[in-house]
Amino acid sequence: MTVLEKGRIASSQLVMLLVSFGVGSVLVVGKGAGRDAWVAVLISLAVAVAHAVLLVILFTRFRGRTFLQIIDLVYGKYLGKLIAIAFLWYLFYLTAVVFSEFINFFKTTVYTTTPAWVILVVGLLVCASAARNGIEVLARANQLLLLFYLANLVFTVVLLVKDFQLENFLPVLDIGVNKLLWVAFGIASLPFFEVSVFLMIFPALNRQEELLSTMVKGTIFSGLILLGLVLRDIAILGNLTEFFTYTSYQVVRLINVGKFLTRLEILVVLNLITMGFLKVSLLYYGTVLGVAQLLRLRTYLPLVFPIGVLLAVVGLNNYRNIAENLRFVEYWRLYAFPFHVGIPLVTLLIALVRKLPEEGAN
Amino acid sequence: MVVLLLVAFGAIILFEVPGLIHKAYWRELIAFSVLLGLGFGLSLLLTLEVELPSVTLGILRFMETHFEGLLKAWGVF
Repeated sequence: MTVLEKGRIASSQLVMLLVSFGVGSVLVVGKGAGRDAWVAVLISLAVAVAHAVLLVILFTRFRGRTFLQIIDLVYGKYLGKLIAIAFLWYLFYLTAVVFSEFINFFKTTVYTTTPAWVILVVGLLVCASAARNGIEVLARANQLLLLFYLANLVFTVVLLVKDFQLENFLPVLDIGVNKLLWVAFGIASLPFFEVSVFLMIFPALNRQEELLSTMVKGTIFSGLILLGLVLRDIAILGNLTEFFTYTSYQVVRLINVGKFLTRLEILVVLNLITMGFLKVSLLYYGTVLGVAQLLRLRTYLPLVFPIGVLLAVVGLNNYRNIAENLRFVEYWRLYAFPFHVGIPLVTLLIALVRKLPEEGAN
Repeated sequence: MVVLLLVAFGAIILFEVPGLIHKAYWRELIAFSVLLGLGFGLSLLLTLEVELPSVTLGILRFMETHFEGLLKAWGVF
């Protein structure tokens, strides 16, 4: 099989990609737990690290193979194809869902009178260009964008410190264990388990022996940033976080320094544009690369636009209102679980039982 | 709108196809044509305001019928 992606990225770039990917969908993190959302983030972070380790163990066991080749080897020709299609469907659909999530956000906050399809086409064109340029360009763009994001974040936190009310955190843990676990499950599914898409990107890492530490580092960093965001939002709003669809946007909106520095919510929008672009591009790239591998093509480039059109169709023809959107987010964790945890876990278990790959067959 | 759609798809075809033919990448050309054809059909229907079934709503209905009771019993809804 020819190599579809010749680009190589360094470990530090992979860490940065993981962080951007993790904070990219911060729109809906921790909904349902109110002031205890931070505990849920901590629980889900622990699970996320375990999941990242699972992905690395699976990948390094079959060193030198792509994820779709691993699936092929473990399940055989026909079942393998079926499972590969299921995984690619998950990636494709996730891209569409994440993308339409961002479009909803822009549509309800800043571009209220722009038709959704205009935002969608413009955004998709940028992501398509990123996907065509490959992982190396994406990783380098990310180095700059992540720096910008972090600077932005620190800036807003500094301006908000004077409004922090620490009693907002009290009482701790009065929502019940079941509810807390459910919310933690939600945060784990979105964004942490979504790093399954990195299975498509692992082969591009230049120092494969650093994969484990890179994945763990990236997951923990992105978890800590999410934790910081959630803590900030709770310190400002307390249980009121539940009442806003876009909590971060609402929180930064409250910045008011001497009636001069106000209306800084545009910073949140900027952050979501950059990180959202990164996240959608990565998922888009992963999907296109996967489909090209499945169809045994020599290059993935011709698939970028056709799949982009399909993404646009699915993204536009989605939910009719925000209530359906929020209900879908609740169920998403159950729907996505078999794909992003189930497929890698079962693949690894079967590989262990069948003692794959056989010695010398590599 | 339909004209705009045709222009966009024309641009995509002009952008990709000559290179593929030049390199004799037939397999890639077939994959490209099938996926783009599917995309064109669906987006044409969307442009003509035909009600397409929504995948998301389908999944939502499915999950609600099968899991809502369970989650209510568990106390998370």
